[in-house]
Amino acid sequence: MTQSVIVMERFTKHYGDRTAVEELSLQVPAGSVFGFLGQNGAGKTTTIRALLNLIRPTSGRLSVVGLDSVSDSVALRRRVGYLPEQPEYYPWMSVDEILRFNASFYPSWDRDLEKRLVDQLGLPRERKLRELSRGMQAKVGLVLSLGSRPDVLILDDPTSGLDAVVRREFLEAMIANVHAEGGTVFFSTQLLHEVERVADEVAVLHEGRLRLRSNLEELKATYKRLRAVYPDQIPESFPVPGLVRAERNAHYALLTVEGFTPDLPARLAENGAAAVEVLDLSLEEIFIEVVKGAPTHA
Amino acid sequence: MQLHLDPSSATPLYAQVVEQVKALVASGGMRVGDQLPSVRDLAVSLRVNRNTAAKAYQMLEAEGVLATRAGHGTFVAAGSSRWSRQERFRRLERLADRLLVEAHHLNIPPAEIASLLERRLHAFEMNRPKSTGKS
Repeated sequence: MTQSVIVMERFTKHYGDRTAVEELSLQVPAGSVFGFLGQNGAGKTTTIRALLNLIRPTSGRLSVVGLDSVSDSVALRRRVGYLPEQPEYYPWMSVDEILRFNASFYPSWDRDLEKRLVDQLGLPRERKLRELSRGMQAKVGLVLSLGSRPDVLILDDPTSGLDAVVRREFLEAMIANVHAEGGTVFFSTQLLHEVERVADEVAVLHEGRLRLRSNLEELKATYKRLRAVYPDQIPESFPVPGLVRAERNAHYALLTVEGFTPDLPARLAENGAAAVEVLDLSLEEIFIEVVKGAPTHA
Repeated sequence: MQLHLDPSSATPLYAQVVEQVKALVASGGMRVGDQLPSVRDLAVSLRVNRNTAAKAYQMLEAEGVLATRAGHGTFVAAGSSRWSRQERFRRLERLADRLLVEAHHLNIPPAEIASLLERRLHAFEMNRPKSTGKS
């Protein structure tokens, strides 16, 4: 059994009478690259901020590397690298000053790694943060979150608004310095093709509730669309378990299923389908199906 | 080793790596004894999960394309698949069936498929350095 590095137990957060996150239970396996997906306002940032004790849960428990987010938050922060959605640094500090300032909080700060990353990413140590472009500021944030050699890296939509070159440097640095060293990466993002490339586990949060949690490869193997051609008449219902959506056209039906098994085409054939084609779905298409949450079952 | 992955393709990423490494070896772009990057370095350079990289190498080893020498790394192997001759042919038959289905829909008569294959084989052999024969 792989152990879990991040554990959320019925985490709930209300803001007044508005529910941001409701009863979220989720486990993030050690060593995984975990894509935490959802639309804007789904509750991703709320969850991440609660993990780091930047907000208090209304109810439920959260822990990272076995340390409770509320009662052990100082010890927890030493083991975790965190890059917020919109980092706010002291604008009057230089790159070097913020690095020294940040390093002082971490006994495990690795100056050699810091130096390597600063060189690799081409950061000007003497420049003031306020003079840096958005991409450069994001790179500073990356060095700040990696320099302590964290066991867990938590990134809140790290690459949004960055150009393709910087995004690539980000992903490379994250894989090389955390994932390849056996660490765990938990990141929220809107850019699904990036998740598709690097993540092995995904979860979808929608309106504060967990809608999907899966291994990415399994998800893509079991979430399929079937095109069934019916020469006579399209039946009223389909003998398909886990049917998410059925779309009827003149002579064929498009069936989206979430528990594909290889015997499904044969079952549809028994039900009158003349030809059945199995179509693969990209993570983006699956995400849209999950979030649209169209009424299930025909 | 330059590989190009398409994350939105229906072909899983590890399978894309497998296909491209096989193509490189078959075309002589990589030769027997050439060393491949470690799983870690491959994952970093392709920006993929290391399980993806590890799975691709495992499959390539099972097919006899690569071999790992403990403590030394992963190399292009002299090429003896762990699969039986029957299994190797079965795999090729599946591909041949796909070719025949496409040919049918493209209205290519069966006789021309054989000559097409011969032409492609010729082109393939031309591009390939003589000394790298994998028999």
